[in-house]
Amino acid sequence: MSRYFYYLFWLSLLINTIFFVPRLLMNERFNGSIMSVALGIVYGSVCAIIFVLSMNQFPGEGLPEILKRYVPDWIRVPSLLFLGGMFAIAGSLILIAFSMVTLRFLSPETNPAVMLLCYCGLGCFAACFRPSAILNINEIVLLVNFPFIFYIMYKSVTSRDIDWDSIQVLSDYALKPPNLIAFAAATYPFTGYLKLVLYNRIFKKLKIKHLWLIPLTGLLVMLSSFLSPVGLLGVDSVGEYLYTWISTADTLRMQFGFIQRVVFLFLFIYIGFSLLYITTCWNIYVNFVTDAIGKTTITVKSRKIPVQVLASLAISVITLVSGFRTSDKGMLDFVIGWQYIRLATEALLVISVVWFALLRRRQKRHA
Amino acid sequence: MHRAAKTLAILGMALAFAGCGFKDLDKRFFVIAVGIDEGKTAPYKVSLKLAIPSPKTEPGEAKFQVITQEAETIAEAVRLAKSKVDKEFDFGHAQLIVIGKAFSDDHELGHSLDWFFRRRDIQMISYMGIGVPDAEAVIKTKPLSERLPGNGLILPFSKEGTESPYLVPVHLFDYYRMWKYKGKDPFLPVIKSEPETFIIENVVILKGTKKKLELSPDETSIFNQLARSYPRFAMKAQVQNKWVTFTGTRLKVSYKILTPAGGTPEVRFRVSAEVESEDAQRPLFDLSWTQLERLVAAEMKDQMLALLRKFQQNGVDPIGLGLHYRATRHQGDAEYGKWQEIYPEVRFSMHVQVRFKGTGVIK
Amino acid sequence: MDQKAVEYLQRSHDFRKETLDNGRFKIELLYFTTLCKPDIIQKEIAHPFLLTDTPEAFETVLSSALFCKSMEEDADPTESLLEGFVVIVLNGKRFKLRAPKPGNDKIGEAVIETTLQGPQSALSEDIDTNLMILRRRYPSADLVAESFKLGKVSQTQSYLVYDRSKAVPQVIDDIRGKLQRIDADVVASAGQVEALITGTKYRWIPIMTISERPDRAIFNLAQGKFLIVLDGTPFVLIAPAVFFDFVSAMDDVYQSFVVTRSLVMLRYLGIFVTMTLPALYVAVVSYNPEIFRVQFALSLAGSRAAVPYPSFVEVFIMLFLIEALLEASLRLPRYIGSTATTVGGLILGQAAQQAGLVSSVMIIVTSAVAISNFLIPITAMSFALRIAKYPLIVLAIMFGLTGVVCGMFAVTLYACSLKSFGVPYFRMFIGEPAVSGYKEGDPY
Repeated sequence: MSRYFYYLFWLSLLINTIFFVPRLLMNERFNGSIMSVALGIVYGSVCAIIFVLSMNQFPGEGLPEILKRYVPDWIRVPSLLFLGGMFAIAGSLILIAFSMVTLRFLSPETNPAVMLLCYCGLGCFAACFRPSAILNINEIVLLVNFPFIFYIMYKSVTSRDIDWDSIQVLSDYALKPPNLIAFAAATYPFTGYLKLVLYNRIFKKLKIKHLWLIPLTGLLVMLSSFLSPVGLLGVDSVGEYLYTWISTADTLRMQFGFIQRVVFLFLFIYIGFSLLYITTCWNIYVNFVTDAIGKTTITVKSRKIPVQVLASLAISVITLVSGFRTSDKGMLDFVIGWQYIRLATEALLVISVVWFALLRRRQKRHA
Repeated sequence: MHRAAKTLAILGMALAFAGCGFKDLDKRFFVIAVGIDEGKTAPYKVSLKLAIPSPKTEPGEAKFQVITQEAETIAEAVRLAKSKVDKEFDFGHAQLIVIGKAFSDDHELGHSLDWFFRRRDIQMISYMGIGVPDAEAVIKTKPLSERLPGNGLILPFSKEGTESPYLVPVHLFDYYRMWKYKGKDPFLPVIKSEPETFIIENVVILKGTKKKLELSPDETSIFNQLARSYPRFAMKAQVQNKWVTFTGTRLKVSYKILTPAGGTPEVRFRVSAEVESEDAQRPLFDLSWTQLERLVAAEMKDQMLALLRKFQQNGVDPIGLGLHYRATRHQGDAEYGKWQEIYPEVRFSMHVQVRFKGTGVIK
Repeated sequence: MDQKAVEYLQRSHDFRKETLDNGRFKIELLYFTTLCKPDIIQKEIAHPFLLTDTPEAFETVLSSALFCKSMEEDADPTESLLEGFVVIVLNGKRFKLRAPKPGNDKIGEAVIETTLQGPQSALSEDIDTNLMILRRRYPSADLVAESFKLGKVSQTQSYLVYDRSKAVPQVIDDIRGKLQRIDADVVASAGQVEALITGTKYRWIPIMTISERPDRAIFNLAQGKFLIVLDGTPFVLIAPAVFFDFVSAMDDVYQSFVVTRSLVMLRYLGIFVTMTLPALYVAVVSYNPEIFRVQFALSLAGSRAAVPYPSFVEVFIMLFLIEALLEASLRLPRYIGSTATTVGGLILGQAAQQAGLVSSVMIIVTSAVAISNFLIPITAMSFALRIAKYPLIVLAIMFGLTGVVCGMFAVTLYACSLKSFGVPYFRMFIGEPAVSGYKEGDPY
């Protein structure tokens, strides 16, 4: 059963190594990206492992239940709402970013609002499903797409156009002191473990095993996602590409494939992954909001409407409006600001969950 | 009933303002190749090769149309060209970018081609080349055997069809990356237009973005070996006053840059190759194979050294020695400046190891 | 005796009210000639009646006979009569004797789900025969058959059959409750029962398997699933079902591992093709022709050159034709059916292309869609998936390829969220007990 945890972790890893993170890292590639990535991998893995170990203390309980146990309502409700909001933003960012990508690369003539509407509508529909259904679809989509992901990664690393000299040039800058934004970006792909705050509810009996997979897969994915753009797009010009990984995928060519340009394969896979990521994040948000409010339905004009539906409608509308008004540049600025907040929130969350786990162990020992 | 009406209304609305990207492929013109020339009245003359789809595909039946337009910028030219056709251009299949010879002689080939780098629908894996006599002529050429428009040009580049040792394909992204590299100079293959075919047999080396040096076909083959370890080369050598042609089956080129303190910097190439004889004016089987190997090695060494020195004299570096220098030294940003100082004085040394694999099916 | 009821029934000419007299005493018989077997009446009633002397002695005879019960004093005999009982009135006391004429208890050949080298016979239309078949093939004391009468008017005899040692008690309680709550006048078929016990009106994907195969039924019994056997139909309902049940043919159990797995893969591929291909055609032709290699894009454009209207019109024309053809050949008498297929398939397709109504690629697409739909072994599922392509086409018209991918995602999510009696319906590793030796996984 612990495979479900890894699906969540890998999804986050694969999604975030493609969107903003490479752009942030490439911007800082001569200014300490490498060190930041190295530190990020260590920090991310350590956080993930201690968080997972702590959550294992609470079998079948998500964060809402844990908070109920240890903190008063006036802390619990705002913190649930805040965390839910953070997850919602994480999902929305990917949604907006991906709608921009599809607009640019798949259907440039489509009205941006329509594209956003398509994604938001689906996200709104999908967020309200049972958490276990979400886990199931995670499994299906990821396992179906893994072979293609491996293929693309393999293809990008073994491409005859990859310039290893270009990658080696970066070695000079390996010892540059890390900087905060690159570090925050490098830790972001690891944050998939945080989804355990909700989905731990479903892991009733089983403890998560094979924790060594976290640093191992993290390292592999981070390396290939950081290094192959450098090798393929050139160390001096990689920073100029706005959609780093899409352009990287476009440098690959399937000579005998039905689809000739790898970039399309890549886009299809990532439409699926993005939808999955949005669904998962919004699902957490929707459940947290429901828990924070404490009711399952709200009466609007004498009709009972589930809180879940209202919450997901709200986030869809917000995303739709903000997605419509933002631009590539505005997004990047927002993401940079958001990364700092996220890093702080994550640290705080991990520390508090570890604290709760320690409390729990002490209680058990006394009992 | 009420709900059904609502759903229908929403669907209708969605349909009304969606679907503006909806354009059937018979309402589109696929641009197969784009040519850039110097215009008579404006800086750019853009030629677009448009494929005309037909239900039957037979050799020599490829139909296409070429649209040319002069304008201040490429984007403008494309926009103006739209008024000459009845369908929308689709650049998604533009696999070839041809730059006219005259244009490449007079212009820098960097920012002037920005349109190609910036457009999302131009593939990063389109091929680039220099057209002789000009881009328009290349684009208008119609090879006899062509079944689908553009195939005659695209297949050799993509190595799905012929595989020639004289062709060094350059992708758009590769060109951009070479342009931006500190320590590697871009190059472009030259496409010569003949009445019913193309000749692609040599490359042009650029310095930065300006054209600097044109290689001969033989040099191109050597360059292909040096830069890309391209194994299918052919070389002639005299064995006891008779000509013998050798072809490569395997090739590995590696090099090291040595900068001994105080001494002259040196680039030490190591080449190992496997060859076969393909065409010989005398029997070879009973000769000493070691000697044959030595002979080929010496010949290869001479040719390669000559080419490397030519690059050095012209101050160009299409192999990326400078990049390799940057990759192997650890001085950060200062490296490139240093390399530029070193490069003119660098000494090349070449160790060629050849294995003679066989004489074919006869002695 | 409830005279009114009897008079009410006497309107039908197959209702008999007879008085027998052996000289010593009289009895009265009430029965439907069409429902009761004369042999039984002869053997169990008429013959002993002739030999007995007193009404008391005859009462003993009746009480000792199999399937004979005495009735309450003023109970309404109508229901019993309609079920094939003979009502015997003896000195004001009433007895009922079960003397049913057997229905259609012939065991047919399996025609809906055929296998190559598996058992060839299907279930019959007679419920007792079916139960007999099941018991024979599953001789276990744990096999429980609970009887239900479904339908207020039809009173269709049905059994809930399960293996007590393997079925999950909650699931059985659940279905029992649902069966009791059925509130329809006539219940005639297994598919209808499924509709009646599903909570929501808007059903799309079947979550109970319908099968005519006894071997499938017993494999499922052994997996801890329950069957609903219904009188008058050779099909049983099997639940809880998972999606995998619908893509596994019984042949899978009888073939080697590698063959089976490849066939299952083929079916999944078929499902994917039948759902997405028309939508992909629209999306590629109208939004993203640059996806495929240029050579293909050009020949596609070439084949569409004669077609004067947008891609989706073309798709709808062809899909309408093919769906009409399918429906027609399904409902038509078998002999006309094959003619219809030939006419439609061969002549229409060719002619439509030559007339420039549709492109030749579209004809390939259509036939690929139809053929891959036939790969799905359970008909209920293949019907459900036939519908799935239309929303995807609409999405393709509006959003292009993105829409298709989004649609597929939504469909997958919908399937994932379904539960069949508490069992997750659509998952990668279904985790069902491996009774046939081919399915494995961790138990749910």
